[in-house]
Amino acid sequence: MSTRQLTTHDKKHSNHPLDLILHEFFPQYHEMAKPTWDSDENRSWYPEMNIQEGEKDFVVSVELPGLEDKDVDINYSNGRLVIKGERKQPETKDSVNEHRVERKHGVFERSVVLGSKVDSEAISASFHDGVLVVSLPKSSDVLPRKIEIQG
Amino acid sequence: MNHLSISDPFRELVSRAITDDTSMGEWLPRIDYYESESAYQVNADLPGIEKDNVDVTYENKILTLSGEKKVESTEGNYANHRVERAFGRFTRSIHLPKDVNIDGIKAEMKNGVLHIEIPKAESAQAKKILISSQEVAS
Repeated sequence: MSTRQLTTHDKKHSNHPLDLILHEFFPQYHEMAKPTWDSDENRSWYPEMNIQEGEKDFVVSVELPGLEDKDVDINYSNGRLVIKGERKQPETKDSVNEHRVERKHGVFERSVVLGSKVDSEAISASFHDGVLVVSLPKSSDVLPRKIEIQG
Repeated sequence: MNHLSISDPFRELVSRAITDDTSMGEWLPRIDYYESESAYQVNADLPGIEKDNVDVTYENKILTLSGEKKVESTEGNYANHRVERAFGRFTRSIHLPKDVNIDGIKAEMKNGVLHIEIPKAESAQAKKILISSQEVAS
């Protein structure tokens, strides 16, 4: 089977053989496969992220295997939580054959908008076994309040 | 079915198609697999898994990683807004074609990455053969 070169327009997309084949059959494939949550298509690593909401807080967990506290930058401003960092390529010795390389490396950035109802002073984060967990307590004025009925 | 990842279905598809041995309904950790002259090296991304929940076995030239990633327990009721992380059991097997030194296999877990070093057996390593010269008797 012949695989054609992608046009200039497609250059920023993956040149993985399977991507090329799928592109051959489904010209819209790259549009479909493109992550929709981030506008930057050039990044290759999108660490998996879970977002949970409880009564009093949000919990955001991100899988960042091989990284430590110092490799990750967490920022919260204007209701947006941004988690970014880099996993460096491992140094390999000379004369090493790479039989399979599936693990992702390079810079990553994930962000989520949680709105202004977070108490930004009380945000905390912990890193354990390659999973980053960010806890974002809601500010007291948005917590459910029981209203007493008078009279 | 305990596979919850929705992040990249195509990658999952490719992984299933080329992987050596998997069962459906499990998630697939990403692995790197290198071979040098003297050893094989396997690195697996296992974020959120303690070493007690991972098994590494070697039998008949097949190295198998298996285990389970448990959902972190949270107190109280939480609604899931986004679920990309996969949980549950996993199994990955890799065929290592050359003989290895089983007693020399080392596995280490660090920051959610499992590193396995598998030294090759002496007999499987490339050996330089010295050419001897033979004096011709006159």
